[in-house]
Amino acid sequence: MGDEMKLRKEELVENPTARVPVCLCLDVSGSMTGAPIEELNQGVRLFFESLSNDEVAKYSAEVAVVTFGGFAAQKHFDFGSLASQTVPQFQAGGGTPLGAAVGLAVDMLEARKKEYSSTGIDYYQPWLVLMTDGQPTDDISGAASRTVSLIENRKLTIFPIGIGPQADMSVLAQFSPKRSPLRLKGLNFREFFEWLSKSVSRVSQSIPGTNVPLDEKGIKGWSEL
Amino acid sequence: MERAVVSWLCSSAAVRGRAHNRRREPCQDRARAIRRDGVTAIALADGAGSARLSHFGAETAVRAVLRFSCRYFDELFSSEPGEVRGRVVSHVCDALGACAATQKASIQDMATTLLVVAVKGSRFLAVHVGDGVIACERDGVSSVLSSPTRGEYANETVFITSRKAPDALFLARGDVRPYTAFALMSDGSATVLYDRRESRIAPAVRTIWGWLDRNTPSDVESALRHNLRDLFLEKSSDDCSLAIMRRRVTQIAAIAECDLEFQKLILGCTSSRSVRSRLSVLRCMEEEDYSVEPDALATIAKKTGLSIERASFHAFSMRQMLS
Repeated sequence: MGDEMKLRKEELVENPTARVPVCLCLDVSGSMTGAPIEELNQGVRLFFESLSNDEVAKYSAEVAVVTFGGFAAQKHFDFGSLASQTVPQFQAGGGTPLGAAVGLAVDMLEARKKEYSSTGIDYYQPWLVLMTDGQPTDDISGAASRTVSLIENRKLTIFPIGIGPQADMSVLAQFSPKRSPLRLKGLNFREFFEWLSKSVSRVSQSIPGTNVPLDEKGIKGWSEL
Repeated sequence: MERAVVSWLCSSAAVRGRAHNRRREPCQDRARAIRRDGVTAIALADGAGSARLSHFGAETAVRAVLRFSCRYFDELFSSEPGEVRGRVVSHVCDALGACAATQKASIQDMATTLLVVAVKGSRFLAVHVGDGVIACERDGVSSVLSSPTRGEYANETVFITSRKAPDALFLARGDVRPYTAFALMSDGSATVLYDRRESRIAPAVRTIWGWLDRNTPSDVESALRHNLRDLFLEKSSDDCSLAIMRRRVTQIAAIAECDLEFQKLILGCTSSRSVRSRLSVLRCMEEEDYSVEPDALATIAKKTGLSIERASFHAFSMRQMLS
């Protein structure tokens, strides 16, 4: 084949990579003080590093972080490319305003989806990772009914994770009508976030018509089943 | 005005994407062209990643829809749109069901998207279910004839086996004379050939159509395969496929100067004997002012030494191809 029938890159178009929005909704209440918050910080750092080192996921994954501690939910940072974000460092303290945090996370996910649609960017089903080690100190009913409705309408995938023996799994279950909450094995945050980054990577590489099953075997590495 | 012969030249290619290569899975895209019963048609299918036998599904769907659109072109062109949608989907699904039975599988294991363009004389029809794009060149301007049907999420689309396929099926029919080219692209190829935000076709598509003006379809096919593999797979991890057709207008006097392979393509022949017959018939038709009345056909048969049936067959076929 001569050069006559070779296309040039300039003749092709560039489409934005389809995005996988992931919101981490993390408990940083007083009970997380000490080893749990240190392990959580390391796990989240590992999560960002793993995604940044993945050739596809680094362009498609968009992570937002919401924490709940003190008296309020806090948006650490909104969705954006991994390159534009710095890995957060959390401090533990205060109560567990879980309902407010989930409400804020869902607001952020909904807003991001609207932005994708208005700018013509394709996206995958959003993920919400919810981690807590105790009991909520606010009303969760409104936030729980929102996540239940979204999940039942295939608008959201939720991963409710309990940390330690005090985590109230029945509370977490109220947010997740399809997937039972899982309890973290010890303080295996790193194993969990490594699994999460691999799962995000698999979704980011999926093609139309593909259902991406979760890596069930990998879950055993971090969860008490 | 001197008459010319209008023909449609076609090429197609499909290559396995990086994701399937890594998992040693077959390419689930298929693209083919056919010329039969006075119809020139191209079809492309992109098998569903989640369907375990979708490579069989894509192959079966492409073959079934090409045969169907050639055989029933006139009915598909003139029937009610709802009836056409139902007939196309049920014919392809019947073929998929038969193939699934031989594989001891369900029809959902054969799920695939489907894109088709068929041309007969001065008429065309286009059918599209699912993602991928149908591009066209009309009055010298390239544009999107049919855009992808997708769900809310990037990995969702409609397949020919989906319940909503008849409603989601895009159907276009009309006068082909303003059109000079068509292209079918799978979702993988559309990543680099279709600007989703602007709904615009990449300049590369026009370049590719131009290749068929100066090269044989088999050379273009080989070039397509190289470009898909070397350039498209850099940008897309999905399988990539493309089927193109290009209108070619050749003055009758110039046909005799072409080499035999091109004469076959231009005149729609498969043998050199058939080329000789059609050229003789063409020359006689010119003398008879392109009439296909019984007297004219009898004269053509006498002058060419062909039976009246063969002379009529060639004359009617050629009349459909004359500008």
